[in-house]
Amino acid sequence: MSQEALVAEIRGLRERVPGITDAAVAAVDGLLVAADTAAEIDPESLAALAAAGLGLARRTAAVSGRGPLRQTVTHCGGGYAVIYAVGDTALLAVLGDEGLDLGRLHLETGALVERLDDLLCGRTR
Amino acid sequence: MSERDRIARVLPEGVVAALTAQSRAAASGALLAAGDPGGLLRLDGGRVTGAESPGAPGAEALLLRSGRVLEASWVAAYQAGAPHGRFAVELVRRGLVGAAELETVCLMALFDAVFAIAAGTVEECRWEPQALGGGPGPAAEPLGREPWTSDVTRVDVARVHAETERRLAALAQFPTPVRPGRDRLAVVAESAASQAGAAAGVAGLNAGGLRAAGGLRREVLGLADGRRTARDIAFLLGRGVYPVTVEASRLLADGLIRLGRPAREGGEVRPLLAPRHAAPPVPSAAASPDALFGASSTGLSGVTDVATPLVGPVRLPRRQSRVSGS
Repeated sequence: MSQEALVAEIRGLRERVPGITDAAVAAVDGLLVAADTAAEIDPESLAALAAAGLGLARRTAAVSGRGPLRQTVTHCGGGYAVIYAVGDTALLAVLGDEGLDLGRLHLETGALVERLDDLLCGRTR
Repeated sequence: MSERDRIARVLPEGVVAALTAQSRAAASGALLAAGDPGGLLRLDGGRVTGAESPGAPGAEALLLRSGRVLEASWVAAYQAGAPHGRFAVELVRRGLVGAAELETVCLMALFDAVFAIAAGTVEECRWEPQALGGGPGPAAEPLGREPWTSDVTRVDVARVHAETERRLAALAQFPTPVRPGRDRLAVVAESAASQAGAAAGVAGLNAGGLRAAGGLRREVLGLADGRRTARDIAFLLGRGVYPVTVEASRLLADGLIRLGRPAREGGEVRPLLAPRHAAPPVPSAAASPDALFGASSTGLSGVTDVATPLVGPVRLPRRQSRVSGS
């Protein structure tokens, strides 16, 4: 089932990149599709906020003419929240602690985002 | 692989060889260890001035997460000191942390990072000599996230080597040493763990001396949710990954935690919402209401076999009542 494949993909990401604490896949409208989160994180809220953040970042990219959006990174005192667009219809939100290696995360997510896009679209075709 | 071989007992040969060579040459630069979690060691004149790894909390995490320094004060000191390369001085000048305490914390972070690198896997070592000033443009910043710790710590390669192997050897004493960045820790049974936690709490209250020891044990137990590694817990607590790994190995030997396997019970992946419609996550505008409705009913029946109750924000059945009412 594609749900399981999705979950396996985002869990695999957490296995490969040290420092990832939570991850979620959501639709751009903020509906949660799959989540791998700790008990303290509400995945529905994360999905909604990530969708809003991605929307803002996309508009900012368009208005400021800086080319296509690659990712949005929120850098906090205690870690990171990173949002990647997955195709035009979905997003991947990743939370990490201070130890998260952003460069490695970006390397890993390049191919992952494409696989997620395939998985999400594959169900519909 | 026997249980005791789960974790390295010595620093990887490549790292030792490179460190020794650069130390003899009194070189300045950074030794990059690629691997899982990997990391880097900064050298200045052949002595180690810092080490960082994604597998171990740095000095910043140790000071902030533990609550020893407040975030706002940290940021203020950073803004005042960092542009002039005087961040460490500024931290002490503002009385946020004592000079000796800062030195201890930075030294702990250094040894802890090398431990994390050695306890994981190292695939490749690369020496990155420090670019000397004088060329065109500004001198290259030292590599790493926390180059400011170089002003505080300075230890011989031999000591780094000895301290790391002492830690690895101590960890290898356990019947099953926990791998700090790999093994996910899960409490064996809620009841047993809470009893142990309560017992530790009582002991801590009764005898102040036990409180510190009981504290870390209780904290590790409380955070072992089957998803987190010892490394993750160390970051959460703002404690070194080495003490947390030792405590986790002790809990494992005592039978209070087990090494979590993915896809088991609570605290794991929550596939909350099976796609509720066969349409893409965002239904295309072209989808006719009938198609959407038909698909949604099959999607809903799919949700019932997911363990999590459907409390999602979308209540598609509402649409059903409207259809039946019309």
